[in-house]
Amino acid sequence: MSGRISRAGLLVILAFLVPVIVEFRTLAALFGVSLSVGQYLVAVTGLVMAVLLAVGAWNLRAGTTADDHTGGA
Amino acid sequence: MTNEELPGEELFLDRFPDEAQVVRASLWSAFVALGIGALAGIVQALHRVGYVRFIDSADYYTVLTLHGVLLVISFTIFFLVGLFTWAVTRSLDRPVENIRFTWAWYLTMVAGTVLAGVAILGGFVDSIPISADVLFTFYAPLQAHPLFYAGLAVFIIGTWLAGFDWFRSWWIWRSENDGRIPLQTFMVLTSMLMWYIATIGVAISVVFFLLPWSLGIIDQVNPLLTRTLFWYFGHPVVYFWLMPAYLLWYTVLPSISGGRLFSDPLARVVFVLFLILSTPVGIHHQYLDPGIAEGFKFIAMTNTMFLLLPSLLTAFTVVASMEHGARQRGGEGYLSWLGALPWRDPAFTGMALAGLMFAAGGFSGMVNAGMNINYLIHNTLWVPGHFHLTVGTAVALTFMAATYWLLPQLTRRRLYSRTIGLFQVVMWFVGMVLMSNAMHRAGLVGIPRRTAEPQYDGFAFDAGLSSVAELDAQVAIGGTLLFVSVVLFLGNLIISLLEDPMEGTVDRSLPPALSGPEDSPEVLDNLSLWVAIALLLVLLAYSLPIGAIVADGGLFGPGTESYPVVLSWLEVVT
Amino acid sequence: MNVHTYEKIWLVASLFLIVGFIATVVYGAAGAGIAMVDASGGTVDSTSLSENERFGEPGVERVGDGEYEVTVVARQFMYQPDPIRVPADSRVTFYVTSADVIHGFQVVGTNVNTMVIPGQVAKITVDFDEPAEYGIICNEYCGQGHHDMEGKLVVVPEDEYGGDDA
Repeated sequence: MSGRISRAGLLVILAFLVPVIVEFRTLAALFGVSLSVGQYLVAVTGLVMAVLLAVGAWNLRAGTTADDHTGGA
Repeated sequence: MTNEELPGEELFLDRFPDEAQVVRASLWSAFVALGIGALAGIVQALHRVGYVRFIDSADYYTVLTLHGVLLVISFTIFFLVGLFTWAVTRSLDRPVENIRFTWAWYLTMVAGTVLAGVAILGGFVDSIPISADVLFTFYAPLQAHPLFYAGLAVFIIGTWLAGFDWFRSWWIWRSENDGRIPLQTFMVLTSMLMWYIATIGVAISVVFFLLPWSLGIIDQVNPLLTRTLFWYFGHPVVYFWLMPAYLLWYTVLPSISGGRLFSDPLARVVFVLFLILSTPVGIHHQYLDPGIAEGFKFIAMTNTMFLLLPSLLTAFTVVASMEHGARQRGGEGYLSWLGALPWRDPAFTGMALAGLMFAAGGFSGMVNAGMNINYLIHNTLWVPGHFHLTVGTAVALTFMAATYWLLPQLTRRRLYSRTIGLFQVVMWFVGMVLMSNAMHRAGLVGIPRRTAEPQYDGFAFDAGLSSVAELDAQVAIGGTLLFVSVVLFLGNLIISLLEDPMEGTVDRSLPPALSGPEDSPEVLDNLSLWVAIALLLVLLAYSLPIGAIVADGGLFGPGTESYPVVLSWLEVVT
Repeated sequence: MNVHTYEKIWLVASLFLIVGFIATVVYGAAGAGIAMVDASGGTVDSTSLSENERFGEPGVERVGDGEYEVTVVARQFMYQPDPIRVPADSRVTFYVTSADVIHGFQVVGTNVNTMVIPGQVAKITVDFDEPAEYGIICNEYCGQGHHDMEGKLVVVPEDEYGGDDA
């Protein structure tokens, strides 16, 4: 069971992303980068997609390694 | 075998049917209050930002009073008394001494809520000269109908009786048993001792000043004095809300995580710290009050900063216990053990997210506590931003999550939908992030709290990097998500109860702590000592400032005539 | 009592954090010189303000070189005087009280923020450097018209300041 990120886990990870997305423009401004609304939307969409891809890749990797815990939740 | 474990085969409601009935009643009262309070909340959120205003702005303050009183008095405290009854009964493994006495205090609390509720709701009907548009803090010289003050007093008396009920159970248990106070009972007793000390201030204010004043028996009150007596109570009440949440985080969350509580002794230390430190800090709500010398404010500040300690210790113990649970479930590595936690379980996820938010709330609270920094955020929207993280999430979300866990053993029903439960708790988290974050930022630019229309003619708020419109949108969206989350929570519960009873049982035993009570110094159980220290600290923090207020302005206020009383029902009828 | 090593480290770190917070507040008080509103304003009879020597005439008064006193009465749902005009580069002491219920007095966008309690006088001293216009809002619920209660504070360039103004 260890390793794979379940759908529930993904939900929680996305929930954690919310504050980052909400304050993304403020964060960027702190580094002197000022984003238009359009640039901001592109950036956060990219961020979410990157996280989804990362989780997917992690799960693929976790699935192909040999340590499979068959114990129940 | 310790008293911490119920045999895994027996449901609480089978072992203690009478107590289960009272617990259910208390929780239902809490949820009715939650539902109405939540409705008030969405009305406020949409009204403030100007999106939907279907009530008069004058009525906004009636809604706000309802929201405050129902959520932080009724919802929180009804849940507390239900939870504490469950906790004492199961940890001492004995029924209450006299179930009729138990019902009596519960009904007293209901009566109090109804009285105060009627007074508040009267504010919606102009033709009835009853109103209590004074908000949860009811500062004089704004005056409510006497039913409001009477209702609050009756409610609090109900809680005092509840505490007596649990103490009595413990005294009798103690005469028959050796050994340390079981942890859950210890937590209940220390919470109630704190409550007794804390309610002294508001009881004096209501019984000797506000109630007779609203009845016309005395002409005027000293607003600074009654305000100070309120805040004497107003800070420890937040710990009264928090301690049941901590009880759940310490005694239930480790088990849900798959493991055991890291340390029983540290849990006891934390509760003792709350008992002694919660009350002598109230003046930190009055940093900007004239009439109180800076020295007293400084003392309140240092006491408050030390009050951060039990919460920081809790953070450690709770996370350590969760990690222990995760590793029992097969988790490995520095951080990957997080993945082994039961995120699919809404009871776990809700409590974990609540705990996380509490950390954020704690830090914004530290800003509030920072005496001179307080100038920047006092009475701005930052303050509700802060407390929606603490009572609004750490407490409320934990209570909702715990309900999912408690449901089978209290009602013999399984939760109708775990998926909806999970969605609900995550939606609460997301909604709160949006709303509370926006509130903090809005407060920093000066947007006030407790205001029906925070849009002014003579100037505009300068929201720096973003705009007020953006902040408004976040408050509205966040508030809406929160409201939907409550609807999902209540709906899920109600449908669960309409389902058939479950067959068999569920294991709700709570394993003993890794470091158990035998490791904790016996002095921790010496409740009289801690009460004495608590009272001493209260005396040190409050005798001089209150003495000065009375010396400078008199018990009933400076001046010899009546204060003009507004929103006074007496003026309406005479 | 068994205290795990990590827990001991955490405890020490927590205490450092707490003491650090206290130190920042002490710096604010002693270093930066931010004083808290206190009892030095004294008490007053809120029912007879018109007979009071100070509050009978709310307004701005010059009391020294670059030093001014502003006497403010807050009532449902306005401030007297409104607007408040002071010159730039001045040190202004506000004396604020209420004629009826508890109000707030916040100069939006600054740290000038105080409770206004009937019977008490809130006395705070503020340095105004640059010319500017500020809104003043009541941030303590004071009744049905609370959200309409606002005022204005104008910091006028020194050469344009005509004198004691209400």
